[in-house]
Amino acid sequence: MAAMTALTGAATPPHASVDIGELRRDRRMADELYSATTGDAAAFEKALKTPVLRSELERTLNRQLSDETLQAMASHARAEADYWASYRRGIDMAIGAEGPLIMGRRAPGRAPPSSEAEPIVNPAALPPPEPFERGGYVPVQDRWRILDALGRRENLLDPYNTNTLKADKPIFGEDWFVNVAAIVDILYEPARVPLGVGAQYIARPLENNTFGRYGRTMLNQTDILSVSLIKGDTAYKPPDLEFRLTPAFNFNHTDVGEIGVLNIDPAYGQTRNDNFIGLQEGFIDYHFRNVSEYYDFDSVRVGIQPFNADFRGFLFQDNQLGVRLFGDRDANRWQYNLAYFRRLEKDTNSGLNDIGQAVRQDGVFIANLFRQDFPVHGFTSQIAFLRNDNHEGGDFHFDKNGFLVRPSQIGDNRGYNYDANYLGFNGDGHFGRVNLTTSAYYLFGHLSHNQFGAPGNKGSDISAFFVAAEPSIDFDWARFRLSGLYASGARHPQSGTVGGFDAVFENPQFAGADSSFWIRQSIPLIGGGGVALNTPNGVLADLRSSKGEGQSNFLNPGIMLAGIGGDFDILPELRLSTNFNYLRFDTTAPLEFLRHQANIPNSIGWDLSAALTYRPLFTQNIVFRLSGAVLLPGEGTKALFNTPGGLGLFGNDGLLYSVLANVIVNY
Amino acid sequence: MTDSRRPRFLHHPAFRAAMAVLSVWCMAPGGCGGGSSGANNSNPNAITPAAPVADTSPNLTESDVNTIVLQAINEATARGRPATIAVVDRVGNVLAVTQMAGAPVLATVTSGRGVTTGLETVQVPTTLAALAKAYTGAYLSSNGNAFSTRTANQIVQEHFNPGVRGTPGGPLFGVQFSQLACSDFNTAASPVAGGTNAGPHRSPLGFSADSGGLPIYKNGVLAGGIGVMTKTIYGANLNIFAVPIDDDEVVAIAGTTGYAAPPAITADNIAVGGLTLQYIDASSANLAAPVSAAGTFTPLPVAGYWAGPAAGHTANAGLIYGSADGASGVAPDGALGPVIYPGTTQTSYVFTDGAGHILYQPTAGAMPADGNAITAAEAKGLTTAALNVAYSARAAIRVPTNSFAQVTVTVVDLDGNVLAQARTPDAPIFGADVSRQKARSAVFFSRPDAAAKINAITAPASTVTGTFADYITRSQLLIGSGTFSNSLAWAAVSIGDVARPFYPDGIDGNQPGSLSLPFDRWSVFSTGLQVDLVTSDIVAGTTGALAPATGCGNANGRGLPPTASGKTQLANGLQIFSGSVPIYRGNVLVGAVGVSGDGIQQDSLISFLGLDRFAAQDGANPIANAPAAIRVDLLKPAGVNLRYTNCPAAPFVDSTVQNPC
Repeated sequence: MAAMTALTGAATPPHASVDIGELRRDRRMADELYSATTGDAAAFEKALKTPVLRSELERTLNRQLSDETLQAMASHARAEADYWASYRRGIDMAIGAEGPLIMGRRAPGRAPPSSEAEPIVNPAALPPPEPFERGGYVPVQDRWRILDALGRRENLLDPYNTNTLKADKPIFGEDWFVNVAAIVDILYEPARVPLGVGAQYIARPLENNTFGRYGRTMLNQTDILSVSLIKGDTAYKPPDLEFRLTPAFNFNHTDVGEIGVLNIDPAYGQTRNDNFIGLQEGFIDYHFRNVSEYYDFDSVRVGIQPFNADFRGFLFQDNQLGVRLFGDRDANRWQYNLAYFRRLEKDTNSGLNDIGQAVRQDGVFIANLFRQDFPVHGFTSQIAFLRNDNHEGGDFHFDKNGFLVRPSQIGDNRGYNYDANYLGFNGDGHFGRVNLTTSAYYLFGHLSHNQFGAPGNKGSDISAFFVAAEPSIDFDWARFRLSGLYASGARHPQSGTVGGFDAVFENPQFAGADSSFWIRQSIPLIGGGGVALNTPNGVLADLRSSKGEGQSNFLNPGIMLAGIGGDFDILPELRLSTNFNYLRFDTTAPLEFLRHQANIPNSIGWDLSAALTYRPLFTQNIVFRLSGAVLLPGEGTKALFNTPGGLGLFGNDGLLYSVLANVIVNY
Repeated sequence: MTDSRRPRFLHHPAFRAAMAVLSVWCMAPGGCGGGSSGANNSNPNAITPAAPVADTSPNLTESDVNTIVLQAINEATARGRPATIAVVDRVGNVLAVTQMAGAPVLATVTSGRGVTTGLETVQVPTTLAALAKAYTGAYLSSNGNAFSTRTANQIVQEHFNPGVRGTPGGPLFGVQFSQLACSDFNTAASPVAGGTNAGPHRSPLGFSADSGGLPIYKNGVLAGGIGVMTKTIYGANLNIFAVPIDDDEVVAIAGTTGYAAPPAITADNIAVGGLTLQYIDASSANLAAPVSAAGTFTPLPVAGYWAGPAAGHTANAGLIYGSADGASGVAPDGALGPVIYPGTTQTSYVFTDGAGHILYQPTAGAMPADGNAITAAEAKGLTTAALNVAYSARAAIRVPTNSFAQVTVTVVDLDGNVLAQARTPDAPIFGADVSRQKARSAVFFSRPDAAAKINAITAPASTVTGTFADYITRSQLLIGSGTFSNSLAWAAVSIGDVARPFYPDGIDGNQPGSLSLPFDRWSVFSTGLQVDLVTSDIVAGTTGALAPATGCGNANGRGLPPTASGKTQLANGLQIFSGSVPIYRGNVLVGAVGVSGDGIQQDSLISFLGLDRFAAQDGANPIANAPAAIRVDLLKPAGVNLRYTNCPAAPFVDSTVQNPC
């Protein structure tokens, strides 16, 4: 039975690179084996009919041979014979013994071979093994058990490898996962912003004027812990159910140059330490159906959740209490959101959600639709409708520092309700090599009462607009950006229709964002009431009493921004971003009214900033940021504030600047 | 990311950093591009001064006055609220008073907060209440601002705005106790029926915070004021956020129909520190009947304030404000003789006796008697300098914006004797008396004998102990043991800092300022030392008594003693809001300069900077502001430094200078 034992050893067809002598030896062997197995097959078939031959065979093999066995042996031998015939043919092709079968050549009248070696066609044989099953098939229930079986060890501090706290393995049951994230964000922020001297008390002798010692230094630490409990397969399709809770702890320390700034009580002094624990997320996300094989879905999310109404946070970007129905279609080419939020009060000094206070009388309804690759490949377009209904006209709300923020202390100081409807188009993506972000909103609505006074004191209609665009282009390691933004102002604030654009809760990632002096710092309208020209992390000049606690104000000067900037990847882990923005008010009519000062020029000035971002691990896990900005005051700023225009960083009459030193550690 | 065909240096980090820096520099204005940027639209003349409101004053004729009174009467009738109605001219001559049948005759003074001290609970004739409202409308207004009693209510309470916890007191905190019947400045009415005489006249109850007093304009120019009283309570509005329809106000609106303030200049167009002032909450839409001047009325003389009309008449005609003959008590400088203040950049106005004589011409101070007293030339020079600051100061309360400030300036000597007093053309009348109050208050509290003089007062006080000494005791506890006896310089702002019901001002629940009272004893009618000094004078004034020879504050010998001039050092009352500084020659206190009529910061600027500027031109041993080492802003009672002066943002209409003081 030499032929049968040889079978396994000859499984691989000979390769053309083997030398010709070897091939000839192989052909001889195949010839012999063909003859032998053919002979075997004939013998087994003959033994079926010839008892003598069967007895001899049984004696040789030392066992009983039934008909079936003999039949199988005959078939097997015949198959082996066919195999060796085929093998021999393969060798013949390789060495050219059979001319017409040489690779690439076809003989007239003969079908081409489907492969170099004809498959063994034997209906009685087992199907050949599938390639991926080679090496054996051991059924296991999930991927983490493979890793368990391989003895991979888990390090709970390593978010990149198998980690139960990062939803890599179920925490209990078959498909309940927990995902824990932790962020430590430490910010040191010295800045020189205009500060007013208290009307009646002063921080030091000889303060005789309105503008005091400018400057504000903040040290801010926010620790965020986010815990999600997720039901579902985390790898291959969206989870079915998610519970998330994200508390944030904030400590803030602020030093200012004047009294009566940090607290309405001038005796409070110039330093404030405060802390707060806020709830930034707390929601249930139920994935109630998939609508296609691409896992297009519909989900509903209820609770305190992050939401951004557009790409760059121009209108409403916040973590607020709401109900959101969202999903996608057509392999994620369409996305939609239907959401309603009731805004929570914010803690004054940390800006975190304060769930200890009653929910605000302020609702935000949002419906939007995204379309990918429209109008061109690589560009996503969005149409949006947002309605903000505010019924806080009866409020008398003081912030934690004792300042009245609703109604804002300007004009007649009386409360107002408003409804503000925003119709928007937003886009983000690229046209060829040019990256582009755009945003446009038309705002219409009604104010129940105009604080500046309007004919008949019956309130005013709102009609305002906002447009912004930021094209950029990449050259290897450098990106160059142009930024343009225009938010209309209230040119006739005492009329029956006012034109100041204000957002619900902006957080613009635009024109340098928090690197920019104007966007980062809030400049109090000293001598013009209890409002600021702009809010912290806001680009609009919206004269609000407070970003987190105040109402929108449509009696504002509006703003125009034109900027250029660049991002330079000096090293893969080190980026320098620069921004230079020119800013002006759309109109200074509201400022002239509040300051009782005519002819205030529109120019705010030039905002020059640079930021270094260093990611030593090439990831977002540890990020250092250092940015600096100066505001070179324009004529409008000079008319409003004491801005001697000096360039000193430490004198009392020097530059308006803003520095941020920030480290973020992310788990 | 790397492209091996490019030179390697392009990818060197140092090259990248250099390119980044270069790009920043290129973006800067005038950077590597060389040319200046077009966006830098610097224009030093962007802020331009506006012309003052023309001052061509009319007078109210008897017919005008009758029309106004009858329009008010007919509305009061339609409302079923019989009223007492008073009309005065701009300088305070009473032109008509009438009391409808059934109108209350007496009213009780009360803030409604249960306070019983000061003027609280005093019964006053409603004729006097109506007059006080009319004076408030006429005196607080000008051709650039129309203020009402509602405006007054908003700016004299413990918070601004009233009701907003934590905010400081009203900007004109204490102004209600000016134009007092005991004043040595405000004049008494003509004793002749149908007669008018030179003002500014005294008001029987000072200013009113009770709705129902409005200014009267004729052809858009201020001509007087109307006061209406239908109630039995003479009070104040503690909640300005409600919009109550007040009968007194609606009747006054009806009365001034055809004589209303130009809409552009009413208080609600004027933002003070960003907050607009209130003018009226009602409007002509609230009238109960069409406006009508039909009918007649019976005039009602008021003892001490109006001798009544001439026989056969129901009203008097008003005087023309500021006419060249000086009949109104105010005349252009130079109309009655040589120009007294030739150095002022605009024509200033002076006070007259109505008989062709100029009052308060620059004179030398009588005190101190050590040779340091202010000279007549200094009084004149300082007044000139202060008026010139006003003429370039941006007004806070006038329309159009960027008008210059309009004020009265008063210079007094160490005893409070007036050395010079003059005004800008259209300054509100109230500031004439108030500038004098402020000047005297500053010099009084800067004197080392202030504590002793107050301690010596034996008249009753509203304090918990019932004594005036209580004010000094508490001041020395709060501020320091030598307070008001240690020769520190107190400006009006500083006095105001310790004269509010909470210290620091506005912080509810805190202890009272040492010259004020605990909140359960405090109200706009009970402001502490200010009102205690004049309570008996005011009560006497309600009977029609003429001002005592000592002026205010003597309390029939139980109050402040008279000085060599025969008058007390606070002869027209204490004032407790911003707008004056004491004057020193070296370290010697020699007097004070007081300013009133525009915003409190403007008043502060004009007094402080006027004195600074004059000091610079006053020769070898000039009069000047207090040396820094003796100013009271060195002190830090309860953790906050007191303020000495409070100059405004963007102070000038003719320059972009900030922080000038």
